[in-house]
Amino acid sequence: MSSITLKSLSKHFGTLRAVDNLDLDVPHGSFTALLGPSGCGKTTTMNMISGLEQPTTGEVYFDERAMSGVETGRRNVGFVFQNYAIFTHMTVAENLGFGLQSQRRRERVSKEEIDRRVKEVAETVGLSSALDRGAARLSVNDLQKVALGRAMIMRPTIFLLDEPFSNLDSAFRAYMRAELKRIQHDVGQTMVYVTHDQVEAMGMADRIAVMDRGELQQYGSPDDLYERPANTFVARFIGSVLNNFLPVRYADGGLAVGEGRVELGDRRAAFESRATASDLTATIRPERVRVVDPGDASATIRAVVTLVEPLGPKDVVHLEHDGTALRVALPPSERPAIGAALGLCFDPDQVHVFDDSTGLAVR
Amino acid sequence: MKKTLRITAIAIYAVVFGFPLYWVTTMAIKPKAEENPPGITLWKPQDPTIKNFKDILGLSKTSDSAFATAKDYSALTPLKNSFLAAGGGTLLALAVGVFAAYGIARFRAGGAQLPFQILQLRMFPPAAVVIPLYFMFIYLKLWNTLPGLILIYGAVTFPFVVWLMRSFFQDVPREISEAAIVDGCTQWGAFFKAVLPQVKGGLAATGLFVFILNWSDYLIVLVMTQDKWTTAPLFLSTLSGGAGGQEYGHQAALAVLLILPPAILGLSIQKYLVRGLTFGAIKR
Amino acid sequence: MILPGQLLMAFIVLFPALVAIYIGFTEWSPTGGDSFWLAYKDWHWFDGYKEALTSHEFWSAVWRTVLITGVCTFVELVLGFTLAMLLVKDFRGRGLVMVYFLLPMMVVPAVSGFIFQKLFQVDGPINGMLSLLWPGDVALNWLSDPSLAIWGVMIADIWQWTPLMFLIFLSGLVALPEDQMNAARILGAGFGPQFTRLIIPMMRPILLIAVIIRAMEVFKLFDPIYIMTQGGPGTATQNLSVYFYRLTNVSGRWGYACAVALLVLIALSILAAQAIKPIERAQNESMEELMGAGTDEAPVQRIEDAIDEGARA
Repeated sequence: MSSITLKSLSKHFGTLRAVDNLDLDVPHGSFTALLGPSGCGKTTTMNMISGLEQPTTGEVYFDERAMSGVETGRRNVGFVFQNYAIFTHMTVAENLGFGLQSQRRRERVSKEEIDRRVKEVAETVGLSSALDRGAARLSVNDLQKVALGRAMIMRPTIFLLDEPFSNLDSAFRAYMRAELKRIQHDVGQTMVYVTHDQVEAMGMADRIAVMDRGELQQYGSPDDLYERPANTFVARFIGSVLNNFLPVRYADGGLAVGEGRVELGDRRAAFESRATASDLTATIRPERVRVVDPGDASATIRAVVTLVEPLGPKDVVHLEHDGTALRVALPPSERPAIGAALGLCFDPDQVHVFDDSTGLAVR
Repeated sequence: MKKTLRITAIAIYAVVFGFPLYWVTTMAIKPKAEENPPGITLWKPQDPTIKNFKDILGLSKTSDSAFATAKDYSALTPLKNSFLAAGGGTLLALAVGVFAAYGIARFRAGGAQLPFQILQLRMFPPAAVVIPLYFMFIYLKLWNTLPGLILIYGAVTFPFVVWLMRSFFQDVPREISEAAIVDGCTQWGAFFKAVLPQVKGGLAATGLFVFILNWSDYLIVLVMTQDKWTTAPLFLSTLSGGAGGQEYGHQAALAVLLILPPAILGLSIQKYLVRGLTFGAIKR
Repeated sequence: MILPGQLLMAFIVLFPALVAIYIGFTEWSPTGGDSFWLAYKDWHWFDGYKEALTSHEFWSAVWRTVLITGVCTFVELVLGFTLAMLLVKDFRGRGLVMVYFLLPMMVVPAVSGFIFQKLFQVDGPINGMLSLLWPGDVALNWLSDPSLAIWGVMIADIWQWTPLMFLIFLSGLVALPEDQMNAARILGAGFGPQFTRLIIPMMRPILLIAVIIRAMEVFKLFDPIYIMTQGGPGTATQNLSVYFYRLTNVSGRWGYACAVALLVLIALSILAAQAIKPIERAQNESMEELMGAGTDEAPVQRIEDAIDEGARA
């Protein structure tokens, strides 16, 4: 299994910077997700890792070895396409064995060996009964298995998956996610997984690289991204419930939030050393807001309920404060009425502050 | 390395496939002095002239041809005949074919085998079919007449119209005519007001395509016409093989004039060429 | 709706066929002075057919037609496909290049015959160019040498119609699913395996249609041959179409010609029944279905499979 290192990787199409100066370190044996909205450059990055596209500048390394001169077929990379790219005019067995067949002379694999490995991989992904079926007549779920098997049989050092589960029905998708994670863990396969679904990324990956418009926003574990977002983009993008954003001002060791105040304590140093006094935005996760009575003195601000979304184990309560929309999570037993006023208490530890001009966290 | 190989190969193709056209265009604009022998391969006309074109259209006052007066040489009438016959045949084929195509596409008129049978027609060599037609036409007094030509052209290209328009009609969703009928149209009304406008492009392309086919005909006029209603392709070969056979310049000029309409029309229907030439089997 | 069309076809196809059947049993000619329905005066039953089936000239015409059809179709296929492969990768100005290569197709076949007749002259440009490549002067008698003439004729057809094959194949190649080609690359397939295991199988329906359509047209070839050589020297370039023409307008054997024509037409009908199938199939389906792509749609089969799977689980 290889590690992957990207150094200053860029891909420009004329003036369009699809990927800009990307530095990334994927340790061997890890499961890394490339997460971001459409157009953020994640697929282009994958293509550069696999060799389908050449970088404009920068370099891709597999285990310290530069890949710039190495053509796609020789990088020993496994790739699963979003639409599977199954060879529809061949049978399942022919699809699975395609890589070995194409490289027979080079790899010195005998026909019997190929047959054996095809059967083996079919067993692993659960296609043993379908080996002679024409690939054009498979269900979407089976196509997925063929795509995986076809890549796995080559015993690649790196596995790349481009939103492989987005076409599956949700029950099967959950199953496949668990399966994939299990295989990756058992085999210790280095995997890079592209997705725009942050729930998927958070659930599966060891480390997540969040990208937007070609640039890396933050690279860390799911916890890192959730608890310590590096900028407003990450703060907004991550989290199953949309984060809360409030304009704030720094004043004497604390933050003025609406009519209330949050004491910063030791963190004040970061704010005092700031050269310019640009506007600030604070975020606090809906799940981390303590809800109290409006009259309670510990409440930082008061807000009015506008909407309640019952989601099963918890309610998402939408509130409005001074023109800003906010959200908090409450157990169904405490469901408030619309129009009711609630007191929201912000713990200083849960509050993250960002500089409006750069979007970066103030630390 | 691979790229230069590729470019060289394309260039070779380009030269080989361009040469005959290059030859005929240069020959057409050469003055008489440079004409012979035709063996010289590469040359730029020293003195390009359009005199050949004028001659062949009978527009010149005098002729420096040793063989005929300017009038005899004029291809004006044959060209006019080509236009009339091809145009008439096209209109006939379109008029009859569009309705048939719609019937087949929408209502499977004539049964499931009909398209197949029409395609079968295409396999028969015209040289064979024209044999009985020859004496039929003599008997019907249609030989060497414009209506006769138009009739044959229309009939011969009618299958093309059917295949092409059928594939175009198949592209129009049924809902469109259904919506028109719901709005109060009759079947015919729906056809004219709702469906036909949808295939305007295809109709034009089919018409142009069929015109090119008729314009290019040689065998039919060879058998079915003489002198009076000769069309341009036949006139060219008569010139070439006849007493004035050495007048390459004039013949080349006529050749160029013959090529121009299909070339221009063909380029304008480029989009539909593949569909047309594969009888609607391949839609790009 | 189809009535006018049917009338037209009856006029051009049915009546001539009936007339031909009638005349085919006679040894009549229009030059005899009688109008054709008096042809029964020269009735000779099946003599015409017997003569045709044993006629050396007839069978060599058939053979020549098959030869020309086979060679031309094959060469055009190979050259056209190669050119399409060369141009499949897009580049600036490719549109213009394509237009350039379309031009030979647009030339009136009779004019093409005229041009090549001049080009193939002993003192013509083709010999001239060959002289540049060959030591000494090349003075091939393209059109008057019996063994060369047929090549001259075939070259003319190849020149004119290779672009058609090129055009058809290019539209096919361009529509090939790029993802599958990329998957093959990543799996280590070089150009060779990509070509033989992916491109050719996926292009099969198009290849078939192109070959059938072109073969159908080359079979009937007349204009360029007649203009270039009139079927000569002797009968060296006489294919079926030229044979028919010479039988009637040169030899004046109209009755016999009808018999031969009917023989050929019957044989072709049988052939047509076989050849039409791929074309029919293509007309009714889209190219995507033929190539088997489309993994995002769920045809009935897949739904059934899913139900099966669910039932088993």
